[in-house]
Amino acid sequence: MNDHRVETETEVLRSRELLDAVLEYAPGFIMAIDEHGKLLFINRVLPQHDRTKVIGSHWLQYLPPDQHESLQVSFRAIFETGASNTYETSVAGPDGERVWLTTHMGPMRIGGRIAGVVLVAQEITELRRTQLEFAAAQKMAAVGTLAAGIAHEINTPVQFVGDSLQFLREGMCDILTVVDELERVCRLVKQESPSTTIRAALASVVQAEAAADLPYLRENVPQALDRCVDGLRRVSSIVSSIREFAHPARKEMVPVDLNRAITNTLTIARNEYVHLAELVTDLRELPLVTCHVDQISQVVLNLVVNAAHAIGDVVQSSGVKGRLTVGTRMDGEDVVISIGDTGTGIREAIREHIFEPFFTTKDVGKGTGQGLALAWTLVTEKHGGTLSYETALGKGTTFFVRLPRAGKSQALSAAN
Amino acid sequence: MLPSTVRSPAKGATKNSRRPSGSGAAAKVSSSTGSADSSVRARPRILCVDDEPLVLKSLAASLRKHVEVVSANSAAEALELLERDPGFPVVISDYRMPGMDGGAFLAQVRKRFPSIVRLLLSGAGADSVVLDNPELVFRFLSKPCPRETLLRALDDALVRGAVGLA
Repeated sequence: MNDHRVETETEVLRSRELLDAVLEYAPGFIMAIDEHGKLLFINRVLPQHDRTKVIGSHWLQYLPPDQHESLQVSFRAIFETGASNTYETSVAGPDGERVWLTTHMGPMRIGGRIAGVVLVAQEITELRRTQLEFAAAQKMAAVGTLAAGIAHEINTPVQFVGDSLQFLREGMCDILTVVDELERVCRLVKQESPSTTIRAALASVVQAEAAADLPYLRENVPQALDRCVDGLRRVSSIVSSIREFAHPARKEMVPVDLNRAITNTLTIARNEYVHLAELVTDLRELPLVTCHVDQISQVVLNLVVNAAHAIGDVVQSSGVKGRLTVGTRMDGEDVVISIGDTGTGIREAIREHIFEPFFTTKDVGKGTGQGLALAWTLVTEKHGGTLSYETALGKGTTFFVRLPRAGKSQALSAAN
Repeated sequence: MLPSTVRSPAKGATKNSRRPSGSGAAAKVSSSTGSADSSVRARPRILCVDDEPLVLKSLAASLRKHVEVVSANSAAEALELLERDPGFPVVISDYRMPGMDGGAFLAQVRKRFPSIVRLLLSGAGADSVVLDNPELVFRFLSKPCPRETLLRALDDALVRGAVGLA
């Protein structure tokens, strides 16, 4: 009897060990929580926790405080309804980065009653990042198609307004030449002691000229038309920038004029920085660079928008316009794009997180935490380049995009 | 610039037996304008095709000192016009038009009126057509096209027509 008990206990221990070993390799976290919220079981813990201390502790202490209330509600609901639920949440990882989890909670039934809750959480950070990148790419593609369509629609009226303005400008010059001649004739006629009828006609000419303020028209009408021509030229350069920016993406990398792509991007982003910063460009002569130009334009756009936001934070307090510096240069076989701001600089504490997805210091609704993360992916993964920065508190930050001139595959095969 | 450089196809055309109607048509139209200016009389006559009438009217006004613009609102209308009067040294066509598009239209012109030089003036969408058929158009201009660029292209097209190359 006693022997039998020992054997049973050994079996229980062995099966417990087996269960632990199996569950340790299960993806994600599996917890059993009793009705008081104490952890009865956990298959493994994050490196910063000690498993022996975790068992018996309150489950909520491992989850963000702002989620405690809603988690408690879900927890209690399981005891009341017996139904399970699923939600997504994020917790702080070992390095303080955000780890996204999808979490299922359900009843743990022992002896016909709900004795606790089983919680299974699986990390989905990578999946979530891919989803967001995919959604962002899809949105960009849709915006691109829309923008290209609008650009096309605008081109036709720009064409005929431009042609009509040219015509008006020339026509106005011709009319003024004729008016000059007529004025000369009027002066001659006046000297020839004209008849009463002619004198009355001359007087009405003088009156009409005064009413129209002819000298003013002579000076200002051509100027106004020049302004229209100039404005229209700007409209058409913006439209052509949009069209090139939104050009449908190609699957393979092609050699492109990177300076041109950057100039287009700056035209498009102008509204982001024009009120906050003076733009200084130093685009040196570059050979054609083999890349996905839509992606690099996107990177430059993200960095420019970021720089503008950084400058905006300073301008808000100082009231003095900042400076946005955009440059390109060759460095060996690499081309380097630099985007500098006179913002606040990046605080030491957050430096290691700035390229992480979902990391943002901006107000809710302003930043998604995707801009730099996406830039990082596009530059390093898609182009085999590097994305780095130099920062000084109170002075500003400069980001450097370094790309192999010959494209990713060539750079790799050259390295092999 | 156009008339002053005397690259007028009217002169070229008289020497070119392939296009006997060129000079006659140009002379007839310029006299109907009633202008005494000799440079205006020497204006070459070109055919513009666009489904947007405002583009046609504005082109005509803007180019009036250089060329006489005859307008057609569709490819079908333009072909009908050419059938009656093929005496144009140059045609300029839009690309996206309801019915026959600019690519198909210029292919027709190339087949039926091979001595006419063809230009495409397009808002968008024509890039691939031009890339795939480089011989279809002499020059591809995108809207909005600055007048200087358009005049240069016209000038070159008229020279090309005058030496008998379309």
